[in-house]
Amino acid sequence: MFTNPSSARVLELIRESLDRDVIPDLQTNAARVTVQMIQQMLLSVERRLPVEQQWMADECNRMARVLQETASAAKAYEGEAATSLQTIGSRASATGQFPEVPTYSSINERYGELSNLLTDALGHLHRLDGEGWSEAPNLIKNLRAYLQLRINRDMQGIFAMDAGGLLGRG
Amino acid sequence: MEAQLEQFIQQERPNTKSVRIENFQMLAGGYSQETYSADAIIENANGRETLPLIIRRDPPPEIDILPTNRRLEYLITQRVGEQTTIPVPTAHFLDEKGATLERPSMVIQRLSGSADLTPLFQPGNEDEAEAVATEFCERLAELHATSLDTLDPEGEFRDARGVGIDSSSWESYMTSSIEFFMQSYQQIAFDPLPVFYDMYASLPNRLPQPVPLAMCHGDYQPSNFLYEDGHITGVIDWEAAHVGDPREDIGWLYQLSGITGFDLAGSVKADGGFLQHYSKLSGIPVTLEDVGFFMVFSSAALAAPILDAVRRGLDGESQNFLSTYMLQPLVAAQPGYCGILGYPEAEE
Repeated sequence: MFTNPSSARVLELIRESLDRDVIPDLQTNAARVTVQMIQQMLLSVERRLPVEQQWMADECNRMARVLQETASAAKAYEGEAATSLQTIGSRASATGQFPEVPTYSSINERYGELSNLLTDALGHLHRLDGEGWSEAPNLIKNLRAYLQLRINRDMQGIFAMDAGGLLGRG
Repeated sequence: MEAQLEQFIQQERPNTKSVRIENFQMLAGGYSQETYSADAIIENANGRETLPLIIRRDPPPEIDILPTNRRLEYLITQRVGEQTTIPVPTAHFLDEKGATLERPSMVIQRLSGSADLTPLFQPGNEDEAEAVATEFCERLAELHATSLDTLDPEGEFRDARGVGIDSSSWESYMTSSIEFFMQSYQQIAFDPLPVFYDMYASLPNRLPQPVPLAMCHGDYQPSNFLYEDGHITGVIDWEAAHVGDPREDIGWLYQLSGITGFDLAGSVKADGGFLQHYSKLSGIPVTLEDVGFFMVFSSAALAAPILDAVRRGLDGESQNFLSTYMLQPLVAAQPGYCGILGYPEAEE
């Protein structure tokens, strides 16, 4: 997938285009306000995207911990509510701990670096193939098998060309 | 712009009494030029004349996605019209520097016919589809068989994009083109793009047999011609014309036929099919292997300016959302490239 632009950067470019290309041509105030609402929500998603999984995993761990602490404290009290808190603590404990999720920027940086290395490797392998090294075609095939997975994921999960095909071509 | 157009036609035809523009409208779509349709009502000593027009104008540089040269487009449209039987719009006027029409523009004839292939490929229309596809094949063969001395006597199309292509021989053309793709990648890859690099880097090891260089249309594909009653009424959009390997046009046609689903090549039956019919008429041998190679080659040639357009959008050089949108077709094209390059199944 592309590391540049990130999904957040694509959203930023869309917001900018709405400002520049759409809002000036809108006919009614209601339409302008609707686009401003859309822009605001796009900005929310833009901010959330890079931290969403990291924060969710972190907060899962925090919720489980605080619920376990509550259950421990509730052991000192009797009654239905206290018993329920202990049950909640047990269930929270059973969900387990997520390992620390790396930051988006660190994954992005490593993905870009490895993608560059893989690209360079393809260039060298084609050169060796041209020089007649018999192993080169198989090694190219291995890299391509990975790339095919990558492309399949791009097509399945990221780009929505099935929604209307290529737009704007006259 | 109507007033500017009236003034421009008046300048170009000084003997006219008056020029009036009617039915002026911008045509939707298109990734490269601003395209307008209009009728010019011209009064002169002989009476009144109506010219149906298409006006193609460069977009402002900051939003230009795929820059091409209006003068060369005008020139090749004119020469193909004069030197071949290929139906093309009459090239009426050129505002090379944009002195009157603000930016470089050309004014050409608006031809009759439809560019919508959907009805042609409906069940029951096989005979008309075959007739149109066969003409499309024959017009391409004619273009490629026409001497470069007549279509490009000054050699202006030998490096039409001005990127250092050496077309003094087939070998130097292929080598310099592939070098250009590789260098472009280094300059314009806004992100690691291994499939594109794979495509470029694989080319030197798969070179086909040489054939004489010829004038290539450069974008010979299902949306760039008009037809009517089973005949082609016009081959249009010559902005990517260049001297190159004629099989580039065939590779691109096969590539775009696959993407659009309008299988023009598969509709030709004469002489056993498109390639055989084309080879018989043009004298240029083409194998299916050649087509595969030139599907990659022509895709590489087209991908370079599109990648650069995306880069300019991301870098803020272009203020056109289309630059960002170009990411979509780039990604969508990759499975096709993987197929052409013979990628194996995805690893588990």
